[in-house]
Amino acid sequence: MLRLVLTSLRRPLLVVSSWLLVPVGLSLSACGSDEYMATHPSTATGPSAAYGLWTPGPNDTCTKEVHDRYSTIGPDGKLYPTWHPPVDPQSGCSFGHEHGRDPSGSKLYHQVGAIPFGLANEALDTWDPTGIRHEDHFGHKIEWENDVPMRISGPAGTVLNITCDVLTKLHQGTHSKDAFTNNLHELVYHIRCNDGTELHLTLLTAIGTPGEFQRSCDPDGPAVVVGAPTPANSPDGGGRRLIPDRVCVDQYVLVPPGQRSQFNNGIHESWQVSAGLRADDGHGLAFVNPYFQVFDPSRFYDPAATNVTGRTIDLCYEVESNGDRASSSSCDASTGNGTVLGVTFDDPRSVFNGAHRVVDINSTIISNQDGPEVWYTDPFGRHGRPAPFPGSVLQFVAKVNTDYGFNVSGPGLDHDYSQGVHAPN
Amino acid sequence: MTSLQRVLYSTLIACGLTHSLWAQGAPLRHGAWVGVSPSFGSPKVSCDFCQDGRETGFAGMLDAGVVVAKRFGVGIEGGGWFHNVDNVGHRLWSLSLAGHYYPDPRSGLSLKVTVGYATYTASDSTGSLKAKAPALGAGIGWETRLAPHVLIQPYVDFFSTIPTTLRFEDQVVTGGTTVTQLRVGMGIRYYGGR
Repeated sequence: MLRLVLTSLRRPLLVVSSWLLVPVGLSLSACGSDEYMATHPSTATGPSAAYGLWTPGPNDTCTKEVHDRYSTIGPDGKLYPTWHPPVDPQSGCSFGHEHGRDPSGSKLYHQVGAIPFGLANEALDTWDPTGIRHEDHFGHKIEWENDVPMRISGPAGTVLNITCDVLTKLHQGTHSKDAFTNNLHELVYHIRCNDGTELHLTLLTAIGTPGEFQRSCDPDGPAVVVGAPTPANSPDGGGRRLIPDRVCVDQYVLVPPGQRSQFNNGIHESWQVSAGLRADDGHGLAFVNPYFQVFDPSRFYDPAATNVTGRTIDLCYEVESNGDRASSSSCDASTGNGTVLGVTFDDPRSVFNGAHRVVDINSTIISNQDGPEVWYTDPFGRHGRPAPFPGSVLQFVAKVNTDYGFNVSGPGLDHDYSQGVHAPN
Repeated sequence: MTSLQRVLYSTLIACGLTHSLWAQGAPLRHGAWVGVSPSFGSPKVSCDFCQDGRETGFAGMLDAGVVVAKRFGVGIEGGGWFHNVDNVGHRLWSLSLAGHYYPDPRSGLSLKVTVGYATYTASDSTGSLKAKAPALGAGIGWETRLAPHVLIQPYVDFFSTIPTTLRFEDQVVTGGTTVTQLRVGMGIRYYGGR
């Protein structure tokens, strides 16, 4: 097969020695019919800020060295952490946290390769040194599915049959206070469909308004204002972060004797992304709106708690003055039906580990009929240009227009990765 | 019963009926004719991401023409097909010029080719998905005299549009779309000639 290397895409590799000017993105070649193929340098020039962040806790048996072997070289030449299983298959030791589904099973993996965690965050260091946003290691969560049948609204649904391969990663930390204020999270989104849709996107997506979140049990109610975000100049974004707080706990979890708690209503997160790529002239090139749901997260917002972070497992032991308390199979499972006292949030016995997640694919719309396919944007997906610039990230957008006028929407991908996992996760 | 099975059974019934009427005499094709033919149509929209399979529904055709020689006739025919699925109305309209060839004027065998235009729509309250394009077709039938000026004709015909654009309202969905239709029917024609 004729294999072409797009000469314009070589540039990121040629200037790698001048790292401050390196546009961070995936190098890319076109194979045959312009198939997207990410290629990375073979030698690392140094660690990224995301590399080496994890150290084992008291419940983990793997060493930091074993963990850091799971790395990949980003297109900027830096070393990044990447997906690993919760248990190291070689040594059998446990990391105690998970990053979702093994991406190597995705049909897109041969195109995109190992996913570097923190690439867009790293690019922001160059794009805006005053607005640094680094994220922890635990929050990087991968999900994928092959041949996903899309739901098509209206008459087109009786005629068309659109299927997609989807591979996505969101940094979605649900164990700390980070997301109470911070709306910038790294999103990687790869999708290829039989209607010509193809999008390979890496950016920091602003989910909702910085400094506040929406209460998950009252998503359309007033925002819960928490405090200053990091970075302080975080942009406002579409979508919203639905996060539980003490109000949700009181409403759905701590219930009168004889009633059952509704953890799925009370302690449930849904980060509703509304992200896209925009050209320098303001033209919207691509849009995605996946929702990332987490069931049984280990935290909720509690302004009275240490670090304003309430621990879900603590609710299993709490009895309010009026006798209200939690009553659920989750608490029963975590505490041996109430016989085990003192289970802490990071105890492997707690089922509140944030490992049960659903990714709703929802819509992908591309408006790039005239191309080019390769765009360089700032780390937020804006100011897209055909040529790289300092702090830019490479994006691939197929030369199609999929704004058909009817809705094409993907289903939810529901997986539980709890095996061998405990909070923080 | 699948769509294809329904079409095949319809064909068999039509052929059987014609055979029983055959004894009434060879066709007399003279002059101009007008006809009507209820039928079953089984269209298919084909594109890179169109669903497989055909939907069968009621179809009808009106035609008119004139016998210009012992073995040749020309005419015009308009066809329609209707089918509803999940509150979505599917419609296929066609208008064609037809050339008819009768290999043996004493026989009921009739062949035709058509050149025309076809429009397919699938619509509900949210909008219409549409493909329209020139279409080419062919068919075969067997005419049998039912009365001095009346002939019946079971037939099978098929047409396909040339590749065209599938649109939702005015928005292009995809190119390279073809619409085909397999149709089985029973035509009744009145010939005005002596």
